[in-house]
Order: sequence, then structure tokens, then C-alpha cells
Amino acid sequence: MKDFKKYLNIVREIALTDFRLKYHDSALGYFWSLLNPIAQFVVLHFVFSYLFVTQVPKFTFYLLSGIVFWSFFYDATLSSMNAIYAKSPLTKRIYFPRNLIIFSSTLTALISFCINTTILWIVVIVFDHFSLNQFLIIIPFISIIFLSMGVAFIISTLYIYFRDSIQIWLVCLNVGFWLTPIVYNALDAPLPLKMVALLNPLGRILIMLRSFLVFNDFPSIELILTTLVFSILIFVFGFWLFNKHSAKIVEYF
Amino acid sequence: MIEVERVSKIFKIPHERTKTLFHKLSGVFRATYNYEEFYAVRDVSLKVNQGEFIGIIGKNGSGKTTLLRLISRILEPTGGRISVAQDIAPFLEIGLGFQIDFTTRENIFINGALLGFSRSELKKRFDDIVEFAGLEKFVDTKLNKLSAGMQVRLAFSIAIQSEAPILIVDEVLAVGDMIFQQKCKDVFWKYKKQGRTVLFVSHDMNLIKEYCDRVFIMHEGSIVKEGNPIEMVSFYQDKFLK
Repeated sequence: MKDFKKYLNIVREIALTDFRLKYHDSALGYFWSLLNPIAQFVVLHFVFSYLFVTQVPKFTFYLLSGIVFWSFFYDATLSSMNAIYAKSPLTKRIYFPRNLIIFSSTLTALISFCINTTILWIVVIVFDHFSLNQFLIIIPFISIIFLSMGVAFIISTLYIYFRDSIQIWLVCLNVGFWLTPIVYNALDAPLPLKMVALLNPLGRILIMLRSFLVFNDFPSIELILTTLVFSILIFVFGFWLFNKHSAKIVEYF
Repeated sequence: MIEVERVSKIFKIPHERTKTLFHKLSGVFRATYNYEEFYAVRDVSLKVNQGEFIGIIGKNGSGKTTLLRLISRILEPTGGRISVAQDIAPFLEIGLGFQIDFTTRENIFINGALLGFSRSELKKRFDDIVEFAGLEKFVDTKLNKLSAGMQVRLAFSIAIQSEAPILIVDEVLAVGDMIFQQKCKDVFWKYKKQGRTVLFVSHDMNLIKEYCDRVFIMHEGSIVKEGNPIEMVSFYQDKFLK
């Protein structure tokens, strides 16, 4: 119990310092971190509203919610991988459970994610509608946190042994962006893509999110449960895998 | 109390650099993944009782730091067993885990947390730490702007706040001026009086003779001799430094 408190304190200190460092040094601070997702949103919105006209109803909110959730997944996984290297001055000189590195970089990404999700929700309420169903976005919210951490643990384990896993992961993220129904509706997609988009846990999280937040309906209980359980399983597996290999971090970095 | 039983640590030294998946895969096709095994620590057993001030001497590369890292759980042994009954505050090489792109203040809070202090405890001790290190003017300066000596002073000032019963000290006094060295010596005497266990690595034989109750000599990863400081230091100087 005493240890748990100590570990919580370590995670908080590292995460908050990283967060401050990331935004404090630039004049516009936090706004800069929003610039990239906003630019992405504006470009994609333009392309799919005027060039390839999309059939997705409420496309603005559909796309915005997809990008906010995707950005968290992107940040959390990539920054966790980077942290394995960036925190090597700490790991080399003092013992602490190495998984705290991943927990703190996810927490740093989570701070932005909380702010962005709040902004997203306010935008939907102001420009579209409010319903009690929207409180249920806590389910996709929690699912994506478990999923991202699980994936972060798995790819960080690879990164301990292989330095080029970051480049490989960047490619996966690029492809993953289009295999996940962020700009299109999974149900409208041609069959192979539809299968991938529906099996992809991130895609299922987005389907839940849009049902609750944008379309004011309720996805099947089965979809909710399988997605949540799958995300937690990925987390448990990743956590186990990482802990099994984390003692090697000091030797390889 | 620290018990180390037949502990070894092997590092693999690859003949080819295979740090990437791409290399590893191409290595599989050519079947040329060679490496050499290097015993950094070989079959070491030792026992340290509570309240002992233990010195470890040996040439560079004799495995002293690796042994301390194994005892502090930073590295995992390849073979053997280590049991440590109490909390350890390691203070290895120059600096604790400093991140040079963070300020002095931020590093104090992160390292303090790693040593087990809560934020409120650290706030109480903050002024003491900064004063001991003599860094009052550099509280919000990034660490990469501080000299190596300043960083060591800061690291030591944070480390001595720890109330852990076991302290591991590796070559602290090598850097730092006379005034700082005197401060460190005062702290060591305080530890001795408090009956805390200290593992101390140094190349300064006068310090070893002054503080240690018992000394181990390491050579090529093994402990070759142990005994009282005066005998061990003269043995070491005769056998290894000539």
C-alpha cells in the first residue's frame, strides 16, 4: 500500500513534468498541440465534403470525434515508445517498476485527451444536440485508454529489442488511420474494408462513441461488452509481456 | 541485511550490431548472429550486516558498479540469488536519474518521488536540498546549463534526504571541490553514527581506510579477498597497482 502510493506519486510527477515541458516552452502552449488534429480535421473535412462527397450524416461531428479519439491512441502509443529511451537516465540509476514509464506517458497523453473530449462534447452540444446518452461516452473513453495502454506495452516491449520498431509503428499508424472508420462509415465500406474496420477494436470503439455522442442511439450490448472486454484483455496481455521483459531495458539502452 | 549468493551477470557483446529488426531478420537469413559472453560479475557471494560500512575496491572494469546495480535491482542477475531486507537508496555514478532538459526544481521533485517522498514532504525539504547543493540561484535553470560539479552536488543533496536504511554510494567524491567533499564526509559520519548500512565504492584509499568496517577487493568480476580495511588496502596496492 505504501509502495502503491509511492508509485502513484512517481507517475504523477513524471507525467506532469512532461506535460509542462511539452507545452510550456512554446508561446501558444497548449494550442500548438491542437494545431495538428485541427489541420487534419479541416483538410479531411474539405476533401470529403467537396471532392469525394461523403454519405455519412452529421459528418462534421462524426469526423471530429474520430480524430479526437484517434489522436489519443496515436499520442499514447508513440510517446510511450519514445519514453523507453527518453527515461533511460532514470532507469539506469534507480530501481522502480519499469511499467511506471508507460503509465506516466499515457497519463500525459490522457491530460490532453480529457481536455479535447470536453471540447468535443461542448461543440456537439452547442451546434447539434444534447442527450443523456452522451454520458455513456465514458464507455468508449475507458475502452480506448485500456486499448492504447495495452498496445503501448506491446510495442514498447518490441522497442526494447529493436530500435527500428518506432519507424515500423509509424507506418502501422499511417495505415491504421485508414483501416479505422475515422473518415468513413464502416457499414458503407466495401466488404474487405468493412470486415477490417468492424473487427478492429479501435473501429468498434468509434462506432460506440458516435452512437452515444452524435447519433443519439444505442449500439448492441454485445458490441459494447466485446469491445470493453477485448480492450481490457489487450491491456492485461501487454502489461504481462512488458513486465516479463522490462528488466532488459537497462541493458539495451 | 544484504545477502548475495553466487551471483553472476553476463552481458552479451554482439560481434555485429544487430539493434534493429531489419538487421536481425537479415541476420537470420545469413545465420550470422554471433556474440561473445562477458562476465561482468562472476560467482559473487557476500553478506552485509545491518549498520556495516562496506568498502568495495578494484580497478576500472572489475565489476564494482555492476555489483551495486544488481544489489539495487537495477539489473537482474543472470544466475544466483540476491536478497535485501530493507529499502535501498542507490546513488550511482554521477547524478541520480537526472533529465537534463528539466529544471533543477523539476528534477528535485521527480527524483524525490523516485526516492519515495511525497510532494508535501519534498516542499518542506526543498530549501535544504538547494542550500546543501549551493544552487540557490539556479532553481529554475535547466540542468544542461549547470556544470558537472553542480549536477553531482544536486544529486548528492537529494540522495542524502533519503531515510532508507541502506545506502549505495559509487564514486561521489571524485567530483566536487574541497568544501563539498567536507560536506560529504560529515554526512558519512552521520550515517555511521545512525547505524545505517552503506556500500561504498571509491578509488580513494584514504577514504576507504577512514570509514569502512570491512572491505572487498574485486578483480575481473570476482571478489578475490575480503577483510579489514588496512590490510585490504595494502594488499590491493601491492598486488594490483604495481
